[in-house]
Amino acid sequence: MSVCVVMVNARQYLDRKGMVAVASVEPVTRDLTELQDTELEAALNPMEAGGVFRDTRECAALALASGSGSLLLSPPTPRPKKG
Amino acid sequence: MTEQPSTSTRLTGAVQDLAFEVVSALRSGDHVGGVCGGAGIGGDDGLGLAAVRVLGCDVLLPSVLLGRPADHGDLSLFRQAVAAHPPASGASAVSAWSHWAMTDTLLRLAGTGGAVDTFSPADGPADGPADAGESAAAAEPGTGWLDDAPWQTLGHQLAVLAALAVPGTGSGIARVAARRPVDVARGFVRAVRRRDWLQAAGTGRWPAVLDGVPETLGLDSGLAFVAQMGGDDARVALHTHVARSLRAGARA
Repeated sequence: MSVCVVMVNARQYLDRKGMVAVASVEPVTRDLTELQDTELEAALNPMEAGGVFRDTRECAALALASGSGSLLLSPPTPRPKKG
Repeated sequence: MTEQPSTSTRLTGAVQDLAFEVVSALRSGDHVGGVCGGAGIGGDDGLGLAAVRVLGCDVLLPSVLLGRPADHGDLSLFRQAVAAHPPASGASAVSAWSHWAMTDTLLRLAGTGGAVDTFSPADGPADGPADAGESAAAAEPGTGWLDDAPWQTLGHQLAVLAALAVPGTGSGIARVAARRPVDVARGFVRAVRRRDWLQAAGTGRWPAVLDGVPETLGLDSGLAFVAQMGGDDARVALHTHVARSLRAGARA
């Protein structure tokens, strides 16, 4: 069941990056549609996102930044070339 | 007619706004008006309460880590979120543990007038429960699904339950992590190499509170890297800030 509540408030929104206060008076609609259990569950326990493995550029950068030659974060050993 | 964003999208945005306020409070050492107020969450805000539920006990983290009384508004909304969103039938163990952690936080705060048992990461665990009547620990969910889980699964689940990675707050999840510090470290590295910055940040909180993590992990550099790569993701900023703060406190 969807319930829409329209609220008119004078609010100040702070831009995160610039921290600039901007006064805004506008209708603020808060859709009080009941959140489905599955949606909340997905937010609480999200599945792993697809990722790119073995990105050697970033792994190498991390190894350099650590300055300690940490082996766990070093790029993988290059595969032997064919032929 | 402009297409409205989905509820899930709005929830994600609300969680980001709330996490941003928590990070701001942690960085500034103050949270006048509370983090929920700063995120524009009111008592009749269903979406906001859901965001509080998702962020979990991290909503009250500024009080826990800074040792200051929790904002009354935050406490009230926290309680409402706990009551409004118990684990649903068939919910995951993660959901059950997240809810347990919120209940446990409230129990530890109960009877203290909203004040928090103060502690410093360098000092050790928090003081004991304030009131015997209200200090009975909520029954913990089980950890069977995690006890012998592959380290890849352990890393992911610990990332999702990163809010439980706080010194002085014992839990079954923390005990599992404490038994497998090397696997936790592996999980952190795996998340970094998969470029899953949120998972890396969440997993990275655990080595900050565990003993036995290999020094070769390079955790400090790793956390700095993840914080940088996380960009504007407030949840990444939150986890990495907490982890780095706990590391700094442990070295003090």
